[in-house]
Amino acid sequence: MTAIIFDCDTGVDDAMAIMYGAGNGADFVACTVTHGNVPVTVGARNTLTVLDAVGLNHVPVHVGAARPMAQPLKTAEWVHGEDGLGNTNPTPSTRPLAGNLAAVEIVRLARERPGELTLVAVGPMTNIGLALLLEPNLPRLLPRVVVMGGAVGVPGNASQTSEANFWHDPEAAQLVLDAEWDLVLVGLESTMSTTLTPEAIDRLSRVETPHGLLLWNAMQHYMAIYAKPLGRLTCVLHDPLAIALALDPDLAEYRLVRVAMEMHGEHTRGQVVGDLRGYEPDPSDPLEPGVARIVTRLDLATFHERFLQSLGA
Amino acid sequence: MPVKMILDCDTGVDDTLAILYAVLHEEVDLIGLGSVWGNVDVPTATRNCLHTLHMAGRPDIPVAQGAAGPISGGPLNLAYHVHGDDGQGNAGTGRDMGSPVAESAADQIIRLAKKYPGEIEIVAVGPMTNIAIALAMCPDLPGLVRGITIMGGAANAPGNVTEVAEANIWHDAEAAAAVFDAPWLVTMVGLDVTMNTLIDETHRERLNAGGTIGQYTSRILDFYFSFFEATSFGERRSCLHDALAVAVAAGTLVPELAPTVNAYVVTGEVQTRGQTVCDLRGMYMGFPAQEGAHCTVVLESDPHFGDQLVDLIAAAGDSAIPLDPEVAA
Amino acid sequence: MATPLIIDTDPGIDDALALMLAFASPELDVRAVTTVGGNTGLAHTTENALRLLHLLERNDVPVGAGADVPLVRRDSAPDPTTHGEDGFGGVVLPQAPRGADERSAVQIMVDVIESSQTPITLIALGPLTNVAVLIAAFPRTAAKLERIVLMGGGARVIGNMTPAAEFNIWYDPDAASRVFGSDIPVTMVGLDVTHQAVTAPEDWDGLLGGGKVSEAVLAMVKFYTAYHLKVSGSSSTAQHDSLAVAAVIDPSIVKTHSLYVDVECSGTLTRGMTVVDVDGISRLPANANVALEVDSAAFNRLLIERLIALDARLR
Repeated sequence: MTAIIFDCDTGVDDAMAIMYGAGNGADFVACTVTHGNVPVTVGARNTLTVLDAVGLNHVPVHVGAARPMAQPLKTAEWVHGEDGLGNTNPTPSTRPLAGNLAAVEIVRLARERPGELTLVAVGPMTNIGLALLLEPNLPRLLPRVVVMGGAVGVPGNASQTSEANFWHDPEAAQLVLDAEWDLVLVGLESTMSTTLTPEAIDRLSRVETPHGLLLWNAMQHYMAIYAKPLGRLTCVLHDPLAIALALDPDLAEYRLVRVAMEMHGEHTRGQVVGDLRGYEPDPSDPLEPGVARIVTRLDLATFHERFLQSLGA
Repeated sequence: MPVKMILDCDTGVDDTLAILYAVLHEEVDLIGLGSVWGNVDVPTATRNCLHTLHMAGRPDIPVAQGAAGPISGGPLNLAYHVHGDDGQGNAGTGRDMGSPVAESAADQIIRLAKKYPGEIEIVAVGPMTNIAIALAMCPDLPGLVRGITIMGGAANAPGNVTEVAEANIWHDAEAAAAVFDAPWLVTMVGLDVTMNTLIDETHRERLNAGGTIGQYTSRILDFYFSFFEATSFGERRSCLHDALAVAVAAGTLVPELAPTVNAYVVTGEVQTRGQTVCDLRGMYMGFPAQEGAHCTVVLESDPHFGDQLVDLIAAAGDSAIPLDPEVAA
Repeated sequence: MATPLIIDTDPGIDDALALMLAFASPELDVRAVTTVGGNTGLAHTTENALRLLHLLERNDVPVGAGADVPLVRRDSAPDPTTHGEDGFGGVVLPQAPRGADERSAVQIMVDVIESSQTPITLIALGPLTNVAVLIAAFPRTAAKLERIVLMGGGARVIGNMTPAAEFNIWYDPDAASRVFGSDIPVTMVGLDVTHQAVTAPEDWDGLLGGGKVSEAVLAMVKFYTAYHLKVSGSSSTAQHDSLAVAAVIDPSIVKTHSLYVDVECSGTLTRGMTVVDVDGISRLPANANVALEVDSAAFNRLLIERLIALDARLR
């Protein structure tokens, strides 16, 4: 079991990630919620609902930032549905939210269990950025951080050059890239290859577990959105890939790359600029600020299988 | 020794006054006009330059047409609401007088600079597109002229087209940046002084009492005064932006405070686009010299310059061409 | 009928090879060469162009000097390690018997475009300063161009000068922005293809023992190879500019995609980046034909064969 703090903006693919984790050895110590796909209050309620659906009704959910550090709030109901779960409006959990705010809880847990926890962040980085500002020592307390964000060497989705999570809060993303921790950056350069095959879709359509059904229904809207750019009924498993690599790093091969955020460009604010020129050997120290692990190869088949199994498909 | 001057303008009501001043004042040897987009489109600016010269009896001074839009290719923002659709306060004659020369405004600047090395003061009272083009076509230009005086910018004063930016700079911030950064002496006559250099209805009366040139000038100021009344002063008056730049360039008006400081123009898609950032931190110590500074920013000058200008135009006598509005055939 | 051309260039080693390729090709009719500051300063690029044309016995082609610094900003500086201080990697060619034309680069462009019966193709191998000035100062003349073929930028392979920007566009982003924003057809030959248009040291063996052109080529390639070896660990050299010329000689050498391209002028890390909308996210109409695939073998053959033939002709 891998002890995880899970920061999310649930969100259809966040729901997928929670279910993947529940079925693949994740010990969810806490979930923290950020603005992003939907407003933080909606995301928080969805996180409780999804946790309950997989029998994890002891996992505390902490509300976090309601908006980015330095720009106005933008959400993506057009992708995830007004309710963040594909407009299926499942019966919401009645569990109360936990007391501490997200960033405070991240710091508290890291201090309480130094060197033990993996931070998986699959929404805008606002809570993580806040936690770093509150506790400068945070990188030394959290040995591994896996983030769904950025697009290195591939086009963006929120804009031509920027992936959504980082585009929503470039200031926070910059704090995350500059911190001296071992960062795995799971960006569009790796997630876009995770589109579900027709066989996988077929298996999902016949799922019978309650949580599997909840997700399959929530996915319909999500898949309809992806049908246009991808040309068929499918979707991309952004957030599940991040948690998958947190639970089993050996699913992929990585290289270390220098990365930095473009903060000022007219067309490029929110872009992760990675140095892929190859003029120098790859950096060797993952803890160096501005250095992150990028996925170079992925065992897609195993990843897909584990995803399907976690849903009972 | 009169100052040799090339005037680059987007004629324009206040440009018309500036051209008249340059033509009429014995201390100025106006050797060429260049037209640029800005207040109006460039064909209108060209036509108004020609008309003004012909009216003042100087059809021999060449007018070279220049750029039709900003150097980076952005949108055209014109100001007919300030200068009238004809750039003459909707009171122009509508007559086409003469034609521009074949060469472009930038080419004219380069050719004349090479012909009179070290003598010419370029005076730019519109967006600086032509000047930036000339710099790119002739890298040696800064060393070939005496200097450049611009009507533009705002060091301490607020902007006009935005909170911080003056119109000429804002319209083509990239061209202005190229001008400020080139290695020549830039004299900046900005809103710090032009917003205090005013003429009012008493000046229009004095112009009306002059010859037909004075009367025409008074006529085109009517619409212009209305704009300033509505937006800036609450009273019928106007600034003498462009003519002040000509006078400073010619030395016929000596500023009271004009330190030489480091200055740059803000470019890019930012809130402060077009701001002229001048390093005025030395103001408490009488402006000690700044290393590498080559921009003289006029901060204070005689606010009654309008009297000198109006006297000159009123005394200019009658127009060499008919000034009644041309009736469409 | 040969394609009439103006070549705007900042020689530069790969510019030199590109110019040789152009003059070696009967498909092309080079009417003028204009110079810009970039790989090295204007004084050197102009002198290099003059000496090169003298070597190629084409002193009949006017050489016009253009802009030394970029359109707006003055903080660009060439990197002397790529092409050497003088731009030719220390290779000294015999002095030309003439100087630059008294007309400026842009004036020559105007004269050539206006006097040509057939629309002119403008090949731009350096920073786009002169081209932007042509468009800004003489838009009606510029509109008569057949197209602009530029070596610059990148769609997926985005940077060499910086991680996000290719050198020519980085050097003068404002000029590049003007060019892509004009209505003139643009073909962009960027790093996506030029990084594949490489030559290995042994590819040049056919020039060994040749005449003055071969000597010059081999000496420049030697310097260029040493630079590439240091920077990338490989002795293969990317022939950026020659590929742009090759694309005009034989358009089938590259495959282009009609895409929307913008240039980032404000970014700190992304200054000079060509933002190429490969996935059509912006929904803006395409404004350039961006070369994304190249037949490297065909290119290599063309370049080497033409240079060998040129050398033989001039021996």
